[in-house]
Amino acid sequence: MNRKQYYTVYNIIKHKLWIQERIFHQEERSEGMVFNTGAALLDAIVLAVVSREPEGAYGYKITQDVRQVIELSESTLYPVLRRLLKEECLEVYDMECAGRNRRYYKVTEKGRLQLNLYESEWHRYSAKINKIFEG
Amino acid sequence: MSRWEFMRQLEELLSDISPSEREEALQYYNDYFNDAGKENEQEVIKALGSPEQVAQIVKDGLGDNTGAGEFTENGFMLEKVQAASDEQKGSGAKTQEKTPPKDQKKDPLPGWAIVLLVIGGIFLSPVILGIAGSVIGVIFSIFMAVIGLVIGFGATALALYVTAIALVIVGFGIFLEGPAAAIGMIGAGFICAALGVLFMILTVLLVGKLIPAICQGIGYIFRKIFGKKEAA
Repeated sequence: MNRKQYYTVYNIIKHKLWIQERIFHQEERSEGMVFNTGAALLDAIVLAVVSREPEGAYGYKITQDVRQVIELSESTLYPVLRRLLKEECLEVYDMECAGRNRRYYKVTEKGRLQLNLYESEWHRYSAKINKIFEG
Repeated sequence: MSRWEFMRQLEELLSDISPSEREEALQYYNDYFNDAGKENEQEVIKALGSPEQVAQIVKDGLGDNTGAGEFTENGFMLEKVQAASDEQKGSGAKTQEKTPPKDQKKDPLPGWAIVLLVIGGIFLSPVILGIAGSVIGVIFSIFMAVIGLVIGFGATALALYVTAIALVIVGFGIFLEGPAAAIGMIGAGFICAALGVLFMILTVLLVGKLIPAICQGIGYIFRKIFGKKEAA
């Protein structure tokens, strides 16, 4: 067994132990996450959360809503929102609220199309995974 | 650390990005504090992380690099920030995992070895040239030998055909004078023709099989010699 193979096996075992530990401690850490998720899914979740509010939603609210489904460090949503703005999937407007301006995010037409794409892709993907799990 | 202290540090750390981007980011985090409420100020500061981490996240987001982050056991994280926080936690294991040890065979030769090889090459050049010359000579002679064989076999086949035709013609010519001798001659002609076919086959085999095989063999030897030198 050469060094590379040894290394691969070592990593696999380490990863398995880690997963077992995660499952074992699931009760202690109520929102423990076993599966890692890519940036596209975060985009999809953010778009879905924002689109639920017809008037749009503000940063803090979006963060809290997203955090109900996935673990997310509170500071990480800013770059995601900024990117979705640059991609014209979101738009912003300021609204006066309690004597100050609050920035609201709203899903654009392009964002809605993108969200539809993500949703259908997610259904296709999760159906395939379910099929494997349930036989 | 108070909220204002946090924002002041963040502003300072973001001083090297464009003013509009800085304004946007600062407004976002300022709004965040406002919307979280005054009573949650300390919690928000704790949840956001250090101003350095937040600044790093903002700066990483500027490059429009969509695939830079991933959800991990600690929630969504950008790779650089994760590496930074791993180091902070003192668990170097994760960063080590991401950079497996390099395959040592692929490491380039150190400078001194190349210099030594060049000097050795200059000093040994008469020997190397002599060996190379004899190798080329041997290969050339093998080629010539094979070509000679081909020509010889081909000529033999041709001569046998001519002889066969001559014998048959002569055999028919003397048929009336001496039928027995004539039949013998015609028979000898057929034997010659058969031998001619045999040599023809040998020639074709030589050209079709042996020459490509020899070429491949020479190529193999060259790869063995020079391929190893390149890899070393």
